Amino acid sequence: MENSLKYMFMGYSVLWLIIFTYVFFIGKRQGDLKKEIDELRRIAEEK
Amino acid sequence: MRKMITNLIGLAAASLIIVALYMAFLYAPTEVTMGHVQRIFYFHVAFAWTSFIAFFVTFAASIAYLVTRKKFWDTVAASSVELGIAFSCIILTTGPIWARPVWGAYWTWDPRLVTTLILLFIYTAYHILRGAITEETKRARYSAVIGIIGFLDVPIVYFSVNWWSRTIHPDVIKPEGAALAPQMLQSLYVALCAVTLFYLYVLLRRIRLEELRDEVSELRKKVLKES
Repeated sequence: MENSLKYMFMGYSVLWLIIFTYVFFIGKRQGDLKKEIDELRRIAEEK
Repeated sequence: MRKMITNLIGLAAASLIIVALYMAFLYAPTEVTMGHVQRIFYFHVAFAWTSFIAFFVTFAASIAYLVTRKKFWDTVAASSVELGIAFSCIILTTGPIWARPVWGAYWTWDPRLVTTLILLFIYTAYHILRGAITEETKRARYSAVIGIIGFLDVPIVYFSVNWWSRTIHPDVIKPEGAALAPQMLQSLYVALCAVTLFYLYVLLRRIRLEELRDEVSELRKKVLKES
């Protein structure tokens, strides 16, 4: 049973690690693109 | 408005995930032969089902793209594939971790496992192909074809436990009823709802990301044209 608990912990850790990493990168990419849009708009207005 | 709906879905998904975790760890009884490791089942199955939904959305959106040639459908297909790949990675890591204490090995060449791995390879190829083709319409057309053909593996994955007699992968949800205790079944259904809502939330965010990329691309063209 103790061994079983170890594998359960491992399983859930991997699951949430993949989820949080994926969601984090989506958020980061979204943030970077928004910054780039603001920058490009600023350049376009200056011209 | 769309941002608010996305955030509401995200909030609902997060709340339901907390309930599903409570049910998986505290409400559902401990399985007699496998012990606590069986609790992986609730999210493992939920992610497996949702990966099928994700690939189905890609399949349907790919058909819609080929029929209408609207870019939106290509965006939906590509976004859903990425989620399907992420969810397939989850089931192909949680499954072996669960299998180790139960089967005595992380991996066996079981039909369900092999067909799921092939499914992951097909859609990873789809994803790589998208990165390799720069021309927008060509990329969308080729991706749509792979998105449709690739989906043929989904029913093979699902029915593999019935078609191949040498499988050791359990099939607890059968048409005649589930071979599970009522609390286990309830916990599974809640996990299914939670993960489906989570899929919807991330899909909406992923579509938004693709729209932002298009906006950047348009703005770059505009800036270059003016300079």
